[in-house]
Order: sequence, then structure tokens, then C-alpha cells
Amino acid sequence: MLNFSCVKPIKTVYSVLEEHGAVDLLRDDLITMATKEIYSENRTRRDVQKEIKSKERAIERLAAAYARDGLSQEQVRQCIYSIGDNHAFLRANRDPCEKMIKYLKQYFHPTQAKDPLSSLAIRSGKGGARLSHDHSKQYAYVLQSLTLWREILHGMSIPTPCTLSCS
Amino acid sequence: MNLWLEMFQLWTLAESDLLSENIPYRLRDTGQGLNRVQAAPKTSRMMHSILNKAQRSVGTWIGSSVIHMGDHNVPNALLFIDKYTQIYRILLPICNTISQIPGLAQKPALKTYIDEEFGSVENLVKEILGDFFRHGFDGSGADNFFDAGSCIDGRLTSAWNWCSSLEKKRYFHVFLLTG
Repeated sequence: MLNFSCVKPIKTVYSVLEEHGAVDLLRDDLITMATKEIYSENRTRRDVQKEIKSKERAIERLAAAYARDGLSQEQVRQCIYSIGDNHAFLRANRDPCEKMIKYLKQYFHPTQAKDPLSSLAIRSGKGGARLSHDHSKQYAYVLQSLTLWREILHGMSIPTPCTLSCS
Repeated sequence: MNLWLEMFQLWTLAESDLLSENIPYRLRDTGQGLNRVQAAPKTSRMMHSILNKAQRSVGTWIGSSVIHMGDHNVPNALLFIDKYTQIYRILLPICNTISQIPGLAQKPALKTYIDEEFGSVENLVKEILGDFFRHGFDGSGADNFFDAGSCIDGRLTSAWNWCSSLEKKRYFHVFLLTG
């Protein structure tokens, strides 16, 4: 109809690296350091600064080592940042699912509910509920839903660099 | 090589489903506005394998395991992806609040408030989590059982519905206090 196609293949980190024969970047030992997320929770400022420094150093070293004709240091850096973004995505998206699963297991018992506060039972028609589950059934239902979400969100992203470089 | 094909699997599959020349789509009013209703066989297959994996990891499965795709609930692969990228918007604020409650209780005035209103810090946490685990997963949020209920994305609908009623809960102030 248009005489041309609006669809163009996606440029991925892999396709860029492959084009320039720089795929080994992904197997480099430094890549873990260069793409890892730096947490600031419960840590001193000095520790965090130190880690940021070594991350930056790793990125620079990789950029220098894998840049070549047609693949600038800037492009290598962009590939590394891209992988880092994925870790950030996982942290923001998948980790809350894990935390929730942890809370569920920590604060509630799979089968026993001694008082109303510890009971997860719901009855259709009460409090807007449309399902009727006793405590243990609801516990399992929530657990499996959260597990499923975690798996889906994990499926939206890449395996960790570790699994990448090992296999 | 295969490793990188796995990358962003769902996104890649969703894109190829949406752009596929073999899968026709129809523009239809689904009750949630005008939508592109298009089947998504690849995304669907992947989703079934993820569901399968989750089912095996927890043992028994409760409720329906229907996955809506290309119907009036989830018209196409993009909306499917979008639904699941919202999860952190639901869970993250709850996690943040829960993790900040102990810090809140270190201020004497707030500790008194929590103790008087909820009994104890522990009870407060349990009340919030218990309510979410009960009513974030109770089949609410749609007008009939088939659309919400216990099917795979109906679970999400209920959680979403819970969030919209958050400001009516008595522990809403705690959410405000923890930002």
C-alpha cells in the first residue's frame, strides 16, 4: 500500500557488538562490575563512593579495550549502560515481588491463623470480595500469584551477566 | 548466541506479534475504548510456559489459569506487557512503607500514635499486609466473574482495585507519613 515497510529490525546490544566482532565484551570478567547496580541502603557514603569509582573504572577500561574501527568508545559505553539499565529494571520491577513473598512468609503462617489479624480468609460479598477462600487457600493463592508475577517480570528482561558469561 | 535471543524475550515476542503480517487485527470498542484486537500467539505461548513453570514451583494451583489475550480484556500484546510493567507501581509503595515503619516508630510521638491506633508496630505491619493479601487478591475490580475472578490477569485487576481504595483505609495516614 505504502510501497515501503515501516518495520525495521531492533538494534540490540548484541547485534551492535556482533556487527563489529566485539561480542567478547559480554564474556569479559569486568562486565559484571561495569553493569552492577550500586545499592545505598544501609551503607556508608564512603563505601558507595568507592564502588561507584570502581564501576566507572571498569566501564572506562572496557570501552578502551573493545572500541575499534566503526565502534567508538562512546558506543561501547552505551552498550554497557544498556545492560546496566536492565539490572535497574529488574530491581524496580521484580524485587518488590520477592520482597512481598518474603513478607507473606514472614508474617503469615501457611495454614494456621490464630486471630483475625493473622487470617487471610475472604468471603464473597464481604469487603468487596468476589471469591471465597479460607486462610490456607488464600495464602497459597497470593503466593502463587506473586510467584507468577515475578516470573513474568523476569521474562521481560535478560538473564544476569553471570549466567551469560558462564554458559 | 541463543542467550541474547532470550534477551527481553517477552518484549521481543510482543513486538513480533504486533508487527506480524500474518495476524490480522480489528479495531473494536472493547468497552475500554477503541482498541486494536489482535491475537498474540508467540507472547501467549511464552506466557503459558512461564505459568507452567510457576505452577510447578508452587505445587498446587488455585483458581482459574485462563490467560486472556486478544480478547476484550487484554486486546493485544502491547497492553499485556503494559499491564505487567505496572506491578512495581503497586508493590513498591507498599514495600517502601513497610520498610520505613520501624524508623517511623523511633519518634516517640509517632510511636504513641501507632501503639494507640494499631496496638503495636508489628500489628500495624500485619494489618497492612493482611489487608493487601486479602483484598488485593479477592477477585474484585470487574463487573462479572469471568472478567475479574481468579484468572491470571484478574489477579492483577484486584490488586489494582485495592490501590484505588487505599485512601479509605485507616492505615492510609501511615502511607502518607512514610511518603
